[in-house]
Amino acid sequence: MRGERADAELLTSGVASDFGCFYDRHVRAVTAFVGSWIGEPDVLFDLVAETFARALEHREQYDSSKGPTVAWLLGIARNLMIDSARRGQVESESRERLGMGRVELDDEQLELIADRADVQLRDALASLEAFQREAVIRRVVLEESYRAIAADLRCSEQVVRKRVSRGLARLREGLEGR
Amino acid sequence: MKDPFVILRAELVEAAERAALPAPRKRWGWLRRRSRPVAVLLVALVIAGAGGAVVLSLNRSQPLAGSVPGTITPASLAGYGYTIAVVPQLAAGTTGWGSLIVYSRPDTSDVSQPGGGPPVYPTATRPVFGGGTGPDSCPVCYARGNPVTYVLTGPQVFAVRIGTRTIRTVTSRALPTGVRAAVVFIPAKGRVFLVPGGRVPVDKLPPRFKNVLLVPVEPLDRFGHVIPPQPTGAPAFGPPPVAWMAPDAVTRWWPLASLNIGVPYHQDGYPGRTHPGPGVCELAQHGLPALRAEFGHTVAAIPLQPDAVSEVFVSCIDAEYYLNGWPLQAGVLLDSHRPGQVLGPIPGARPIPGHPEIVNLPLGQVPWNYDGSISADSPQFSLTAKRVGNAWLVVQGGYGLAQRVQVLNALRISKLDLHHLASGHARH
Repeated sequence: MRGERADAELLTSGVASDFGCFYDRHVRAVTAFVGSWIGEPDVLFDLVAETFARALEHREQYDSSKGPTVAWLLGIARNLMIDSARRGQVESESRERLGMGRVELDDEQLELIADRADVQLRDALASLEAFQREAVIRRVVLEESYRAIAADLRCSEQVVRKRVSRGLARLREGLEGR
Repeated sequence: MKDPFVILRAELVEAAERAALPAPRKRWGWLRRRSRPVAVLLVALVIAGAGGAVVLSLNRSQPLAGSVPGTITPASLAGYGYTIAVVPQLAAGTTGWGSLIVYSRPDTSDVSQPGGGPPVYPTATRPVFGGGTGPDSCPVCYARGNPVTYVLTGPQVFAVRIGTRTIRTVTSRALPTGVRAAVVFIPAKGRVFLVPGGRVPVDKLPPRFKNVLLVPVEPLDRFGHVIPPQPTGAPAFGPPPVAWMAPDAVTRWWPLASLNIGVPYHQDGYPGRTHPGPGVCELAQHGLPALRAEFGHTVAAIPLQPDAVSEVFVSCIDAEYYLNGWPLQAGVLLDSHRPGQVLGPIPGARPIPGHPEIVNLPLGQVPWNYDGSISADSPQFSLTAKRVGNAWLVVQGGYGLAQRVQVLNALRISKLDLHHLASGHARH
């Protein structure tokens, strides 16, 4: 978006307030994404917290050639959900390494988290053009490579990258508006 | 009621502030400043050489294994044990040594930090051939800085100049025969990238080098003279390996990606081989039906490296097996000077109690995906090997030593043809 600083710049600038802006931009998308699979608000919140902590810890590893930051974030969230399902608990390694405290949640806060997560990601996805929706789901959720998607759709990798990037941007705008 | 997402935001910003704290520079100024009289003199040697008497003020190399110094904090690797490992490469046709640092602490997963650059070996014109850890290292380590770094050299390098310090290189049983190393500590959370050859690039650096201190490394001979850099081509390679991939192959284990560049997962019309092609080496398995080979490479000739000035191994075959969902790589190592001669030991590997013919080299764990983190479910990077004739049969990965031994005992080298040799050609 014109006039806005790029996500990648906010992520990697090393300025703490920039990371706060980065969080503001994407926390809804991450919460909706995790909320699509996770029903318990405390678990959901833990996953969102660990996702951003991991993004902060690994921010230098973000590679813009592999896709937009939000795809990277959702990829982290997806891996965390898989790992957590395997282990039966949400990982907290990044938060511990960063010295972050665990946020204790009361009933009201749990209710608020549940409300915040009650965004129908599927509805938001459904509002995308079909070609964008397919590209976003295959890249972000199924973690297919750009090359594989492009080969399957018989178009260039560049076209797939644009579809993913624009689809995610629209998704984010849609979620922010709710 | 306070919005928990606002609380989380505040926690993250505070953590980002802590992470952005500058590293203490005064104590580590020697990495930045140009030469001046050395403050700490550990050893002073006067060596009378052909070029006249030269005084070398030498600092001692830090050990290849020890404890990371500094204040222990959650966001640093201070207090971890570290081990620098120089490891053979299992990718078929690959000659040379890779290297990494394994950080470990009781009750936590080991963290492996790969060294920079491709696997290579020292030559007369490439005296500093490896080591260092740069911005491309593993995510976990990089977030916490690289508190230990090192260079690997050939036998002709008596010392290296790093910043303003001159550090004597050392030999060790953890290094291949003919390889020397110098190890230095870096400030907490510092990001220092050693640049062999004494020249730091002056061009604009890519974004991942932001906040990275590039420090030149100059090799010195035993008389204290700088060994001048000489133009040298890329390491020589033999014929390219031939890849194969089983029809149902699926993997997400990131180390394999570096071996299978250009080989996509199976899709309709996949034109490549689905079984190992003919090669100088072949592997067979027996007695372990659940063991399944999914990927691999063969080579038509064994690459020779006559210019190497240290011992150097070459792999003549590689294959990735799966056992109960765990990935394990297998390879056969030969001597790249004379493939028929008995290989030296695998550096740093130790015999396993109860299996005197098998050795093990612990190398920590690696994440399933490069962007992922290491957890209890992550496969190991450690390798286990046994001598078969004049070769090493090696298995790397899996969930642990017992599984690697199980696979090692189920594999055998069914073909080893030492008659097809390739002197190699430079690949630029």
